[in-house]
Amino acid sequence: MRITQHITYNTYINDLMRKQESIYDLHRQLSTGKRVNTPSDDPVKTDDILSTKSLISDMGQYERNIDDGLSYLSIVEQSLDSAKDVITTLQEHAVTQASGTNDAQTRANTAVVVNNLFKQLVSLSNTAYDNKYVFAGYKVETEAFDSTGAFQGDSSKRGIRTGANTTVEIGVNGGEVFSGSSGGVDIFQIIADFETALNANDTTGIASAIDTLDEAFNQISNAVSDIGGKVSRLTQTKDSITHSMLELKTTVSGLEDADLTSVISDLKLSQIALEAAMQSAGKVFSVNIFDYV
Amino acid sequence: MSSLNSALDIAKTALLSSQKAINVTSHNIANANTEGYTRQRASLEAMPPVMHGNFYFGTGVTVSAIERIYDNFQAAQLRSSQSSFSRYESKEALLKTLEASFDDLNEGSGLSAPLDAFFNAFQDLANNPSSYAERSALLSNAAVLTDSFNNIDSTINQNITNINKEVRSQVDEINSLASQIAELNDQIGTVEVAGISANDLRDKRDLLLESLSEIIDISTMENDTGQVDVYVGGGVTLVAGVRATPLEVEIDAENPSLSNVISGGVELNNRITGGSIKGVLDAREYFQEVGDKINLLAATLVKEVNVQHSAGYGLDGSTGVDFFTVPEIYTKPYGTNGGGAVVSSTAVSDLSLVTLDDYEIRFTDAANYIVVNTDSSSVIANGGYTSGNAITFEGLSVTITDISGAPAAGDKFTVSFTKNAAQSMGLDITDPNSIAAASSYDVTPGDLPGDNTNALALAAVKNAEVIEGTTISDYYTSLVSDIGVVTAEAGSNRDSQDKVVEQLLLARDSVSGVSIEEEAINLIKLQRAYQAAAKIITTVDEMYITLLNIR
Repeated sequence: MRITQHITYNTYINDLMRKQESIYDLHRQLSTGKRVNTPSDDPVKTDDILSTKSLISDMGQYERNIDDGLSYLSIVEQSLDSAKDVITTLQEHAVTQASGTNDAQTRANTAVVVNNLFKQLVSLSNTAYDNKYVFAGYKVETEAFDSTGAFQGDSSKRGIRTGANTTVEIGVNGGEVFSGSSGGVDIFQIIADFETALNANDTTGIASAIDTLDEAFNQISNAVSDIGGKVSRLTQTKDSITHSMLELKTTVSGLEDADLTSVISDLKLSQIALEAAMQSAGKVFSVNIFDYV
Repeated sequence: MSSLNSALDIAKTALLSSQKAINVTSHNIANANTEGYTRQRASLEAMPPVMHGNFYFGTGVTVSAIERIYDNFQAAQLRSSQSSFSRYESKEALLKTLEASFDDLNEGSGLSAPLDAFFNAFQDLANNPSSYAERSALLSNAAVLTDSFNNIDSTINQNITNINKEVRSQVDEINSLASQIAELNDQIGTVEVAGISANDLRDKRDLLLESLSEIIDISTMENDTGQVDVYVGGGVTLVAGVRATPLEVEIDAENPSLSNVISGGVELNNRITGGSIKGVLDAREYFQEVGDKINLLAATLVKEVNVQHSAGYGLDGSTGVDFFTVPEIYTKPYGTNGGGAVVSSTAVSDLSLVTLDDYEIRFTDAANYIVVNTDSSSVIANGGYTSGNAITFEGLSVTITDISGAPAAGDKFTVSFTKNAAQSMGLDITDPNSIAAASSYDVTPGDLPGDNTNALALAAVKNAEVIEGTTISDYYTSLVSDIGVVTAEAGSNRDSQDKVVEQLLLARDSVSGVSIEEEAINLIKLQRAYQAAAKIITTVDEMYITLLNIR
């Protein structure tokens, strides 16, 4: 083959360009730390990376939903625990006042205490989280119970999304817990009856309050257990989300991150090749026929 | 004739021929770096002998021709691979700019992050349906999303506009090259009719053909007079001898956003198979495809979110409220319409019935029309036409009115809900309290501020398979990956054509290129021949003196 100056120079230029381009690519991977910088770098991986990132974003949102639900449930649980304490105190009073040793005066005095406890329970049933009444169903801006203990909320329970297709109900219906609207006892009525019995010095009424307060205690206690169940379900879901997120993040990093060791060694190789090309070109170009003829 | 005189004459031809040959060598060396130069060679030939006595005596040497060392087949091959190379090169360059608008991988521009944020904001709202903060955050996320749609759409349209300008300037370039080639054809014909090869003019013309083939794929045919005819688009004459037929650019009758390449009334867009103009046309076609997909995505989002949103209740008691602005329906009369009716107004009568397909209203005669779904090619409605009465089908309502006369039979109007969707996407809702998070009410709408059911349903749109059997996010992700595939494909085609072009250039250079070493050696060879001929002249001169001194 006839080799002309043109061929020698052009081939050299093309080779240099190609080597420079591969060095540029490797540099870009090093500086961004990523192997896939544009969709055309690897279209299939692009699809995987973007889908996985979207999934991570979804999961992050589910995690936030659950955190929000858990803090809501913890407020509800606290207030129900306090309600349980109120009922326990009332039970103690009922047992004490039921015994024949007490007279009308002490019972009347106790009635005042009971009335205060009634008010305390009403205020507990009107617990608010972020200015929203937790026991009021969807009517979050209306007090769940009025001062007489009548339920003013509605029976709906709020749900939160914990997965692509799962919604968990976290709302607690005040009507059910305090007024027994779905087949339980009306706790405010029980306390009001107890107070009436105390004022009337009605020992039979006081004695029956011991039993009804027992039912009231169980009703609230059951609600607390239900919340415990929900909390543990949410916590489990959250754990599994945290775990999946970690795995997904590893997947994304495996897909898009550059393998620094191999990039650096490739870069070294490319640099050596570039230097070699320059050296050989220098030797070839310095030969001139007119030095010899 | 074997006289001393004839020896002198022979030496003279040798001197002159060597001079001429050195001239050629000098021309070669001078043009060693000239682009498109083909090396030349002086062909030396012995002059016809003469009979003297019983012998033929030679009469010296002459330069019979100055040849051009050139391979026609190689040149044609090189031009065709140049065409492929520049097609993929210009296509890739344009697709790279498109790719830059979908910079989702680096959390830059693109729709995946805004889409995620938008639907997540609905879940935040579901966590706290009565809160103003969550509502207003949702609106700002929605505004980011609509802005992103507007931006991507306008970038694509801007690119298409630029491509149209590019088509025009490339056609201008083609026409200018064509007329230069015709001019050179004229000069070459004049020179070569005398039997002399017009070497340097041919080099010039080949260079022009090469430049032309970078813009558009050409085929050539050289006629007897040395003139070359150039054809484009599979047989359309661009240059015939000394006459060039310029190409034209025309705006597409059905789609005013497109410019077509025309020659003699024939559209060449799809007949051109190579050159940078083809790459540009390829890219434009793909830009439109991506634009259609973005519009479909926007229209789907508007439809699904609006339908779900209008079913719920806002804190302020509002219901039936559109979340996004409903895009204005795109309509266009066919360029071939002969009647005097135009579309006077359009409206969406029931968004939940809208299919996102494209339609055509076709007039069978002045008083009757049919509506055809052009995606499924089925007739979905028909009826009698009354000017000014709305034609309603599948949730859309289009009013056609006679302006300068009734519609003619065969008149058609294109109707599309999606075509303007990304461009006109915006928020219809401005008051955060109008966001319908609730799906029920107790006594009056808006009295259940804690109801988050509709917000949850809106968040669930993200995971619903609402667009071509897949979810909105997945559809978008496949689109980005598809852009990657098409760009990478153009890039790898460019790379492989680049190597072919390089090989062919090398092969051509190997035949036609000037080698300095070769010329240097020729120079010495010719110098020696010249010296030898001069020596003969001195020798013959001395012989004459010897002869004349005989007394």
